[in-house]
Amino acid sequence: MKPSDLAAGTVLILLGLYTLFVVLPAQTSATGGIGLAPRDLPALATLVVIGLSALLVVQSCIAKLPGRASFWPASWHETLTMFVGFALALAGTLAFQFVGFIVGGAVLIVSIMLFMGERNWLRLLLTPTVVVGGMYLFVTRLLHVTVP
Amino acid sequence: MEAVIAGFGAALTPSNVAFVGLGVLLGYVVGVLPGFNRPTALALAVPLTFYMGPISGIAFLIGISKGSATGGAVSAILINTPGEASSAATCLDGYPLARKGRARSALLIALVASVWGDIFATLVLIALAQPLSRVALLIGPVEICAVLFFALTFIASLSGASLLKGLISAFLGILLGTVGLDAETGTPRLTFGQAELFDGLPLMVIAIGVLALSEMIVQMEERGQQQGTPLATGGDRLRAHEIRACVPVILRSSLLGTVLGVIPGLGASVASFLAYSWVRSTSSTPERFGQGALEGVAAAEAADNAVVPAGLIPLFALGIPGGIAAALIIGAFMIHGITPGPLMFLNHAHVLNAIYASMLLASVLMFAFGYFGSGLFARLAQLPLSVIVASVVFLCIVGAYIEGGTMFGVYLVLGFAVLGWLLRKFDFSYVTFLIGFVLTPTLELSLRQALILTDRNPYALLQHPIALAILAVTALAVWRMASRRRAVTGLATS
Repeated sequence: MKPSDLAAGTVLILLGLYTLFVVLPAQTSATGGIGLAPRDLPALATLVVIGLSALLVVQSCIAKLPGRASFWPASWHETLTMFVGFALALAGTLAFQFVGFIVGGAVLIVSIMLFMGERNWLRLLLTPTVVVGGMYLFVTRLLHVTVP
Repeated sequence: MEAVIAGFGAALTPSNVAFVGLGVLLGYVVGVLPGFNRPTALALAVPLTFYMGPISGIAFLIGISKGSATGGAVSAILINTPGEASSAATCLDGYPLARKGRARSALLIALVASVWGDIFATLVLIALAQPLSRVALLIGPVEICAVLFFALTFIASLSGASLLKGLISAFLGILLGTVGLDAETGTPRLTFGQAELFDGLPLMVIAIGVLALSEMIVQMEERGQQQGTPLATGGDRLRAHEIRACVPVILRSSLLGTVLGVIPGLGASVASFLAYSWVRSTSSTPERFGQGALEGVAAAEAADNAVVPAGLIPLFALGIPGGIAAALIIGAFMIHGITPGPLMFLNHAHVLNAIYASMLLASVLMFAFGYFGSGLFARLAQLPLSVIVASVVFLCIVGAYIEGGTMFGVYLVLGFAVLGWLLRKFDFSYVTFLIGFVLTPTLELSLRQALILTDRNPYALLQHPIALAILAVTALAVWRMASRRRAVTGLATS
C-alpha cells in the first residue's frame, strides 16, 4: 500500500463529489450552448478526476512497497517550512498592501532572509535596498504602474 | 528564408535588440543561480511583456529561456551545482575538469556546444514549423481534439512518477481552466460572484503561484546551507585534437536534442542525460567519462540547448505547448492578441519572422555574453540562497500585482503556491496541470465543434480515420508506457 497516494486519491474523490453535486449545480448552467452546455466540460473534467482518483486508490492499496510509508508525504521540517514560508509571504503581502511597496517589500525580504539563517548585516541591508529600490523604479518609472 | 531575412528588419530595431539582450542576460543570471530556475523566471517575466510590443515581448522570453539553458553550465562546472536541472549532466564531467584546472576549457566548450545546439534547433524550427502548420490547417476539430488528447496523455505519462497522477493533474488544470464566462453563452462558471474571475483565472497568477512561489517555499527547506566556492577559471587553453573530438559530439547531440525537444513532455533534462549516455556508450574511451571528458560537457550542453527552440515547433505549428516554457510563452502571445497555432503563419507572419530573427540574434548574444562575462557569472554563482529566495518571493508578489493591477491576483498567487507545494510533495505533475489549464479554451472549442460535427454519435468517428489513428496511437503509447513502468516498479520492488 502507498499511503500518500491513498490519502491523495481519497481527498480528490471527496472533493470531486462535492464539486460535482454541490459546486457545479450552484455555479454553472446546465442549459444553453450548442454542442456543449456551460456545465459539460467542468462536469466531464470532474468525473474524470473522480474516476482516475478511484483508480489511484485501488492501485495504492494493491501496490506492495518495502519499508514504512506515511499518509503525509512531507517531513515535519518540510511541513513547518511550508507553513512559515506561507505565513511570511502572507504577512509580506499584507504589509505590501497596507504599509506600502517599499516598506512592505523590505520587511518581506529581510524576514525571509532571517528565517533562512542569514545573519550578515550587510547582506540584510543591501538586498532589500537593491531589490525593492530597483523594482520600485522599474515598476513606477518604466512600466508606469501605480503601486500601494 | 527570405521572410526571415525580412524579419531581421523588424528584429534589429534598437529597442528589440535591447530587450533580446536583456532577456539573454537575465536568462544567464537565472541559469547561473542555483535555486532560481527557468520556469520561475518565465512566470515572473511574462507580466512584464504586457508593456512591450509583441516581437520584443516574445523575444525577451525566448532570450530568458535560451540564456538560462546556457548559464546553467557555469555553476555546474564551477561549483558542481547545476543552475538548471537540465545542467545536471554537465556536472558529471564539467566539475572534474574544473578541479583539474581546466575550468576555462570546460566553460568554453559548454558555450560553443550550447550556442551551436541552439542555432541548429532554431534553424530546424524555422524550416519545419510552417510546413507542419500547413498540415495542421487541413485537419478538422475532431482531429484537433484527438491531437490534444494525445498531447495531454503523452505529457502526463512522461512528466511525472505516474501516468494516473499526471492525468489527474491535467484534468484538474482543465477544471480550473473552465472558470470564467462561458465563451459561447456568456454565463459565469465557477466564479463565486467575483467579477475579477469573469475573464477566468489568469495564467500568470497560476504560473507564479504553482511554479515560482511554491518552488521558493521548497527552497526554504535548504535554509542555513552555503553555496560552494567557485573554482578558478584562468589558465588553460583548448587543444586542436580536443576541438576535433568535440565537433561530431556537438553535431550528434544537437540533432538528438532537437528530436527530443519536439516530443511533448520530454524536456531538456532527459535530452541532456540521453545525449551524455549516447556519447559515452559510443566512445572508444568510455572510462574517461565522469573523470573530466570535454565530450561529456559538449554532449550535455548541446542537447540541453537544442531542446529550447525545438520545443517551440509543436507550439508554433499546432498551438500545443510541449513543455512548461512553451505553455508560459502562450501567455505572452495571448497578452498581445495572438493565438499560437497554424493560423499564426497566416495572420501574424511578420511577427513570427521577426521572432525567428530575434531568436538567431539571441544565439549570437548568448555567445558574446558567455564569452566575455564568464568571470562575472562565476561570481554570481556564490550568491547565498537566502538572498535569491527572498528576492524571488518579493518578485512573485510584484509580478502578480503587475499582472492584474489589484491585490486580488496576489492573494490568488498565495493560494496557488500552497496547491503547487501539495502537487510537488504528493508527486503530482504541476507541468501537466499547467498545460491542461492552458489548453482548456482550445479543447473546449474543438470538443464543441467535434460534437456538433459528429452529432454526438460515436460511430461518426469512423468517418475520421486520422482522429481514430491518433487515438489508437495514444492508447498504444499508454499501454507501452504503463507496461514498461510496471516492469521497472517490479524490478525496484524485487
